[in-house]
Amino acid sequence: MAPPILTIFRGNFNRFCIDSQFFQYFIVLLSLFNLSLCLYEDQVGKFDWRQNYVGKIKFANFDNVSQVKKIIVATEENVIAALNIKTGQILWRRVLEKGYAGRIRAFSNVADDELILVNGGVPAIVRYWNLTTGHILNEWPIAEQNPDRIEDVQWHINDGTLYHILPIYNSGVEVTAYDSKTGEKLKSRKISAPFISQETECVLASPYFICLKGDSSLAILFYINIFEPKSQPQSITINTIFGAGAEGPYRISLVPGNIAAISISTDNNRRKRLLLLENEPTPVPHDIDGENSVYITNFDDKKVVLELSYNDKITTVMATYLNENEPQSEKLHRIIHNDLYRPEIVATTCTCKSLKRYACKFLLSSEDHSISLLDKKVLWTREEALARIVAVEIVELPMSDRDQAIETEFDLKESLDVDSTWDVFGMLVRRLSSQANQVKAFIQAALGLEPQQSNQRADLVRDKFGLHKMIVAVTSAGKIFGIESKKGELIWQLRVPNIQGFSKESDQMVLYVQRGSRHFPHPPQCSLLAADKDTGSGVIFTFNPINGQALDGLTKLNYRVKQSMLLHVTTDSFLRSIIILDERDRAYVYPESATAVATSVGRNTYIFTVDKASGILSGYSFSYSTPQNLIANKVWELVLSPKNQRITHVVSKDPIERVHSQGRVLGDRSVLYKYINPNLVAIVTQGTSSVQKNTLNLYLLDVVSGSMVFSIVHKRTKGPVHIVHSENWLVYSYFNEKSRRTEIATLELYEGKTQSNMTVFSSLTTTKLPIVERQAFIFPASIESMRETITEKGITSKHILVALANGGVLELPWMLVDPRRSINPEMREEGVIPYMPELPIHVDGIINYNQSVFRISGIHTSPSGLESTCLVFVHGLDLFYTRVAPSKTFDVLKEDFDYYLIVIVLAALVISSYITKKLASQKLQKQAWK
Amino acid sequence: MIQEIRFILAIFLVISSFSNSLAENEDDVSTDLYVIEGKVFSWENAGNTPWQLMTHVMANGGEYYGFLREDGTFTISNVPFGSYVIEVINPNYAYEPVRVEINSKGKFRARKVNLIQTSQVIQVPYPLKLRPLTPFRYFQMREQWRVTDFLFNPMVFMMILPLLFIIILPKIMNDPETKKEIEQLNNLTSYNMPEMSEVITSFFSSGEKQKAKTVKAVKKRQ
Amino acid sequence: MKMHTSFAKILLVLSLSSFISASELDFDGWLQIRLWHSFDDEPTPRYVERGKITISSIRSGAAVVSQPGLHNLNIDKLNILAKHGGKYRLKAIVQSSSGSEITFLTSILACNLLGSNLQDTLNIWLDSSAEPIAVNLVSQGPCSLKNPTAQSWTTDVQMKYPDGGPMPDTATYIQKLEREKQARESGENKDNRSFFAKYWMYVIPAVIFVVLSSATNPEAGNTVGSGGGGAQRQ
Repeated sequence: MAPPILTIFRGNFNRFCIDSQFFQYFIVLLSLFNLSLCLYEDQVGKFDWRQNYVGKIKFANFDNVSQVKKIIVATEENVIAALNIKTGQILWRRVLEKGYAGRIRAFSNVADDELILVNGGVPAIVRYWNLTTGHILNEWPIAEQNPDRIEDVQWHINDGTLYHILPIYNSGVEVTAYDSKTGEKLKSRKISAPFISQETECVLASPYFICLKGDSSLAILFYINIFEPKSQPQSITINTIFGAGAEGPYRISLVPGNIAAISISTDNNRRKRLLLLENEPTPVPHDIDGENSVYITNFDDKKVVLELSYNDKITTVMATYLNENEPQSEKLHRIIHNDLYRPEIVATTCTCKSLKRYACKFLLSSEDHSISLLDKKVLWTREEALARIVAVEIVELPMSDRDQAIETEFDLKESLDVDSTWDVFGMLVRRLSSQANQVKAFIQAALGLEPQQSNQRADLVRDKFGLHKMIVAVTSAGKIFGIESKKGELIWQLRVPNIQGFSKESDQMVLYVQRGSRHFPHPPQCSLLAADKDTGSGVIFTFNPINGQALDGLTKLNYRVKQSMLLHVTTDSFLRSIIILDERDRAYVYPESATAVATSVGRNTYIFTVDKASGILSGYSFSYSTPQNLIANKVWELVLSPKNQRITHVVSKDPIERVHSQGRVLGDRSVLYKYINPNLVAIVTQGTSSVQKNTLNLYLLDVVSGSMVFSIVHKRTKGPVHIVHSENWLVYSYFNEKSRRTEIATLELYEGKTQSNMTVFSSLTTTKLPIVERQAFIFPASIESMRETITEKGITSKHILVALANGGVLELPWMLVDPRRSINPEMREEGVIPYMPELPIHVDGIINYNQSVFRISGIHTSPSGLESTCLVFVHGLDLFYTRVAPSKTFDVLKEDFDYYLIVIVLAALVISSYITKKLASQKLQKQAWK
Repeated sequence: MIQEIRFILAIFLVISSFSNSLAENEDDVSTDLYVIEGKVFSWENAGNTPWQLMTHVMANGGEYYGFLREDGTFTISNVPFGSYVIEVINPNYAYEPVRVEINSKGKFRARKVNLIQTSQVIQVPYPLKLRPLTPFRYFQMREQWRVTDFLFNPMVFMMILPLLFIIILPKIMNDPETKKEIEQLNNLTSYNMPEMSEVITSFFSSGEKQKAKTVKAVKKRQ
Repeated sequence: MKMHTSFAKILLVLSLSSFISASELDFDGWLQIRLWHSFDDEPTPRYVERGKITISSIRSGAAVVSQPGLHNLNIDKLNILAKHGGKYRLKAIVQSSSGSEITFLTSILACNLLGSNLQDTLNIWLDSSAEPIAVNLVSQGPCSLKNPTAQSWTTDVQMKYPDGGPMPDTATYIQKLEREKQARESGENKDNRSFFAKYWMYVIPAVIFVVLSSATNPEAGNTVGSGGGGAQRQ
């Protein structure tokens, strides 16, 4: 009976399964199974940290009026914040718009717990804040009559009135007054001051508007009181200020402080003098060194000029009292502190302790963007240079001294020097001595005795899974920081004086890791390549990234750097050299001693340059190099004419990336081989001509052979464009003007069903163009930055980290942007989910949960010792670091692994088996006795 | 006369079409700037927390910002005409975004954001009133170990249940009353479960089997 | 009268052409390419004329290639270059219909040319406004050092344009949503079939089983019951 019924069953059952939705959902569920990427609540803060910064101070003020004493700062990064006076921590922070629209132009004095701020360009917005709570009280826009003169507009806020002051050349000054709280225009007045012209250098020191005319010793200072309706222009000669013998060129600038004053520098900035402007201009007959920074304030009723001089780590604060006829100087402080570097006073607050004794707190802002509070000694420092990081590398920590000593046992090189010990007896002696050392160290540690002094922090060593690393961050101020990755502590700092990025727009500097920390006894080495601030030629700075000590120091190159490259072969001491191409296409090797190694691989080494101004891309080969000289010769050139397009991005793959699988298995069990070209570079350009105005062009170029592989154009789109290029795919985002939404497009390159070459890829012999799969998706948020995760062996799936404008960083699985996501729901493949036009933003995929990070400028990812884990460092205005595991931690036991449960169960089973054995034998005995 | 008119009309046609094409290329720059206003409501038990500090309003992904006053109202100033997506940014609560469109004559229209069907208009009151939708659930609950997980594990179940039977049944058996009850039950329900094959063969060849059964019965009696 | 109608026709054509210029059609144009090549094995090569290519219409890609044959001297130089693993370099100066003149440089391994018997392909890449951006020389041949049998070039010219970018496919999705909505509304009636209609597959065998077993059982029950009864009576 059974077989006939079963056959009937089978037929129906199959149809039943296929018809029902259940089966389809089951497959989808299985494939989506690894898409849940959540954190658990108890993992918060265990391996991630966030640091908030404000940026370089532009304006600052002490708030002694309200209950909680704080410092209000407005910075160059368009941020206003309140800092705690005692610790420097941020009490509250408001981030204004980015770039031109949020630039803070005027800052009122703090009164009544309220602050008025003018920010923006054309037109400006006046915002009026409550300082205890940090929320806004009112906001109003100022209409600007002369939009092209916005840079010359000065603002003055006094007594609840905002003055908009615009100098008009050869005519006068236009003063418009507004009520600062409501925005009502009060009156507008024009003061005639014919001395203002384009050559004069003018400064507003309310209530006077002063201009310096002339360069030689006949220079005159013209001034006029702009708040007095019937004032007349007046003048004062340079000689009145300096006496005889002063020489140009002269410069005037406003002295920061509570009293209106300007400083005039002479003799090419070798000395300067002040001119007080409260009632009548009064020159101060006191010479101040040109390099010193000045600040003017008053202690009660006495006017004091504070002078700050910096010389080789020694900061001296001098106070000059100005009420008597002869100014009297007194040295207030003399500090030697590493954190101060050419500081300036930006704010002071003084409390009267007793007659004639003042306790003053000075807020100092150094040239390297750090903020310090000085009160007899430096109370705290904030390293605000970290708000603008330009280059990051994550470096492995070295092994502990003990482990390194074990390694040297087998170090061939060392033993080659001393032949006699490279024999059985010598090795035995070495091993015994190292083991004796280890025993000694162990006993010492067990007894809690002091370990031997090592010049290495005990916890800065490589941990078992390689998750503890050193983040080396280079900032735009020329300061390099070493941050350890576990808690975000600053380990070391280095200052590289007088450097800047290679181009004005991007501040970009290049950091290379020439040698890691795996080659004991050679120290790890990093090199920073930048441009000199004065001459623009290249500079190289070499340092040890683990302890922050300069190795070869600053080397000035006497040429401009056009392109640089890290060589893939190492010298005998495991150092990878850098090849630098200068603007005349001559190649240099750094360090020079590595030239032989570089020329030996010259035949197969190529370098390419992109000139954004002329749109010319060229490729060079080093095949004609001699063993002493590296010679570059051009092998290809192509032109993206700047008439039609402007190159915005040139993106290549990460050089340490590895691709694990050669192809993709399709539904019918055939293999689609990937086109993995390590020399492929994606070039993104924006249309500039009137025809091509809103187009985005993407070109894929093989930079060894110069052949273009693919090109694609998107019409009616707008930037900003963010692009990720990895393995055999590209993911890029843009703003679609027609539908007004952000879209993400993916390209994936395949060779086809057959592989062209099984063993090695050569750009010079491949001629077949790849098949490109493409797809576009809608993304429901705006993107600030994108980066892909990377692991050591490339086995883990790739996730794309997307930094959103709302402060979150989203981990987007690549499977969601796979271009082979089929529109046809019937066809199914492994690991491919059906197509949906909108990409979902899963809230549990946001790796920084509620620790928002604003104004993200870049994300850096690095592999760790575990294949499943990738380390992520997000930098921008804030810093955030965490770990992601795209395929969940498949190579480690999970954190809440029930060790106890297993032990208990095992123990229970063992015990119960013994007990039952005993009971059974007892029963047998009893029965035998029956 | 008619030809003259036709001639003039043709010229107008040409001029208008050319000017049309020219006009398409020029940018219509209107210099009027507008202000977007609205109110953001806090979530329950926000109360005394500085929620206005943690929240701000963003237009078009950071092009313009609006900050909240004490009562939650905000203004975004200096906005030229166009279409803007207004979002409220808060690390703990999600708010629904709204699309505000200002046309060149200064008329405001607020509607829901639909990125797939961009022409769909579901209007939303302007000035904006933005309420929190749901708190963000960033975390996943850890799998708790419960005693029931352990007990209902099939392996454990298979182990423990037979154990219980083995221990308990003999105890029951030793009790005389229950013994009698069980025997009675057995008598009542003891008809042998008919073997499948026998049932089918009997069904198909009913005659012969009956005879065999009666012979059996007779035999038993003897 | 005739003049007016022809005039009107001309005006009509003109007005239509203005519409054409306002819309986004693909551009067409011509290209004039002059080729120079170098067989030198030095970092700074000297270029010698190789030939000319005229493409009258970019859209059709029809090219007229005029290249004189190769001297034996050059073939020898090519052989030497191939032996050293060097590159054969080609310089192309392209004049386009928009009046620009751009120089491009491309190179290829000399041994590939020998292997393909002097047969190469010139890929000319254009950007979205039909301006040339790259000129690439490719050759299919394997790397060989044999002497070529041909004395002149066999060049194929191909034009490559950028593809249009993908757009998110919202239309299919919206259709699918509508279909599902409709299906849901009508589908709610579908599952109102009776319980029996849905599960007849399972009910029928159970019924058969019960019938059969009770068919055989009355006999067995009878025999046992009467047997038991008989036993008791005894």
